[in-house]
Amino acid sequence: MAAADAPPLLVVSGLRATVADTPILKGVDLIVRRGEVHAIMGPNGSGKSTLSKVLVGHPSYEVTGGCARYRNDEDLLELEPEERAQQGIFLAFQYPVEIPGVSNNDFLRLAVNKRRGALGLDEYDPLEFLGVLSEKMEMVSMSPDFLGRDVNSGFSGGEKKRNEILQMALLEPELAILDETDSGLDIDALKTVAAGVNACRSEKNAMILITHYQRLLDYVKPDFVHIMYQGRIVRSGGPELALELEAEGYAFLGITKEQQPALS
Amino acid sequence: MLSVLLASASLCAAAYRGVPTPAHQFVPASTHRTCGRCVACAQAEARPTAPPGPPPFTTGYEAVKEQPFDGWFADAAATSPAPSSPMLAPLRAAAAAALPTIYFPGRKDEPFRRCDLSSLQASRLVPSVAKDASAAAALAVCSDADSAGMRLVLVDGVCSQALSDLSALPEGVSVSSLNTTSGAALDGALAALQGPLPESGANTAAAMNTLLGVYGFAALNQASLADVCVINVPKGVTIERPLHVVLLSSGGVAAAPMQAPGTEGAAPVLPASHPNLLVSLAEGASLKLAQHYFACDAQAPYLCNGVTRVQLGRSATLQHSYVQEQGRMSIHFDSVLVDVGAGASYSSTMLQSGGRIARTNHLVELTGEKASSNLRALSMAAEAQLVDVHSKVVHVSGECTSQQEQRNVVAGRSRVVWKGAVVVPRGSDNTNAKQLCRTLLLSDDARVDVQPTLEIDTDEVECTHGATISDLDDEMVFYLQARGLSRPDARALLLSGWVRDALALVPSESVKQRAVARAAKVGADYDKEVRRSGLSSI
Repeated sequence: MAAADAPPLLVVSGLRATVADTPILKGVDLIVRRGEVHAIMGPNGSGKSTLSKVLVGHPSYEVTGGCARYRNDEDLLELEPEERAQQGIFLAFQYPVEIPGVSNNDFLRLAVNKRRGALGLDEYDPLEFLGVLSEKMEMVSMSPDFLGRDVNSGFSGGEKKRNEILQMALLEPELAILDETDSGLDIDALKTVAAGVNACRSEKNAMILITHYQRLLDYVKPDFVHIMYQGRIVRSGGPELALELEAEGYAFLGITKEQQPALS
Repeated sequence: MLSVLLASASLCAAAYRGVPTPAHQFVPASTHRTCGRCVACAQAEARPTAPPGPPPFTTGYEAVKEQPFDGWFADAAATSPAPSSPMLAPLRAAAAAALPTIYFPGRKDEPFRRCDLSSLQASRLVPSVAKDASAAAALAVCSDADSAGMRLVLVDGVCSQALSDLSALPEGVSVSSLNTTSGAALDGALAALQGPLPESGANTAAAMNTLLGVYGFAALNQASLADVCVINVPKGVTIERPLHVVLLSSGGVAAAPMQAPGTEGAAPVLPASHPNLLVSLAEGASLKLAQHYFACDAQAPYLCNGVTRVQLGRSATLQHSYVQEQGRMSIHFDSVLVDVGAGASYSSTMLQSGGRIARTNHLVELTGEKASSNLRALSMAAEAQLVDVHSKVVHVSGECTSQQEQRNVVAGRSRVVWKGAVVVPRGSDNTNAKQLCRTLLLSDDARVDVQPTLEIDTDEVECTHGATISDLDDEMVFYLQARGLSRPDARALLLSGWVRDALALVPSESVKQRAVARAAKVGADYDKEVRRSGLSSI
């Protein structure tokens, strides 16, 4: 954990957002500093995924109030999605998109070179990139044959999620948001993904993990756990909060266990 | 010739009984031909004309339509240059004899309902005259170095020995002009050329309903033959390297003024060529054929009116790549007629990219049991192009399998038409047919007409078809934006990927590169900013 007096990487305050005129976020407050890992949990429909989409600028969500400041007080919400990505914000998608006809290798190199361009670094040529890529691929146990395959096309659920982690490792984001990256994974894939996440973790970056399960947090230790409910963060604490949820559910929110299908 | 016409006419009247009578059918009796003297003609003339009232809105085209037998096809053939071989003369004569009975098809004819050829009808065809060196220059642009040794080049439908290079052709395989074809290959070629044209009798007084619209233009092609390209693969021979057949259109006209004195203001002249390709694979033979249309002068207006016949013997395999990159002012008309024998397999990738107006008819007849076909096609149109593909897969025999995937990219003010019919006649049991058409409609001014058609007359079949029309999926665009690509870059990448995917089996890197580059430009240029589309065609 970084020193508490370091400037925060992300400050979200009073953030409100709607999708198709339905309010989803109703005043979210969150401060993330470099070196921290935050887990956001909460029942289905509480706005966790919406928060992640709003932070990366998905066009279907309309921000109706509040603000999000990034790094040196930059207004995050003013930036186009691609500018946010180039400035080091990364979202691991819950449902990664399949792109037929575009090879994974070409796609990854394009994405990495866009990021390097924004950082003022030279773009990798294909051969250089292959070297960088091979190293990172080992990290997520990807076989080399997947480079020639089309982006996520015909990938299994686990492969798609590992591909997201590979992209995170390559892009070296300052703020990574992982939207339910653990869902749909078997235990071995979960361990691989968690190992990749831990390898990317450093004092220079921060992560927000959106998850339903304590399971992931067994492998990736969060510094903070937040509970989201009805569009707000209603409770924050340390890792012990996730364990408490695992044992007792969301009863403290006034909803019964039967209403919590996602909680295993 | 007359008896053939009459026979097909009566057959057709029987087959299409109950279909509303088209306007150009003069009398119900299928054997009547217009003479202007007999009772039937008098009856036809005496029929009530348009009801009184304000004159209907006209485009000027109707006036032409009122004269069904306008003699356009006969006039068009009359200007053709002399054939390169005396063998072609009787073939030309036989086809020419039928031309005066064929009228120019208009939008009242079902196959041409969405394909406006009135600008062609308003033109007077003259022979194409190739300019020096332009063909060699075009060839250098359009073909890959790895086609060396396996390349036949036609300029304006005539095989060019100087530009062709067939040094790597395996022994026994015949790829040449009809002039230099001999033996069994020649006999087979002549038999194929003498056979009846599909849809014979369409656009004549016989008034038969057809699906593809092959007949008139195919008859014009045969009546104008300057040369025939014959490809013959003997029994059991497998050719590993793709065979490239490059069909260049010069678009050139003779230097001397074509217009006779006193005809100023007459129809504009249009240089025309009529390439004719015969592909025959004997039992067990296997070939990869890359048929490639390209313009010597991308800005020249011209007509390329082709006919391609493919005959696959028992258990033969053809992988057919058909690439149409005609000039942007040209009119491309082609009929690709494929006969797939028992156990044979026909797979094709058809790219339609060039042409101001491009119309291609693709007929695939699965004539032997356990024959199969797999048609992939991509029509890509922008600016004011019209690209029209009509396909018809006929399961003549049972136990056959057909697959078809049509992709359309429609941008600018262009129009793409696709009509895809799958016909399963009575008795063709255990048929399996799948068909899908996916369209990306990228601009509000563009238009697409897709018409998947299944005609099934038997019970033991498994047929599926579907069609989607949408813009690029915004979730895909966003995924790429979230990886740092701008919206235009993301759209360009998505569209080029989709196009590359469709052309996976085209054996020419330069073709793929041009198509992908064009797709990238089209994807980036046209963005309707529809941000919440739900469907995706990808």
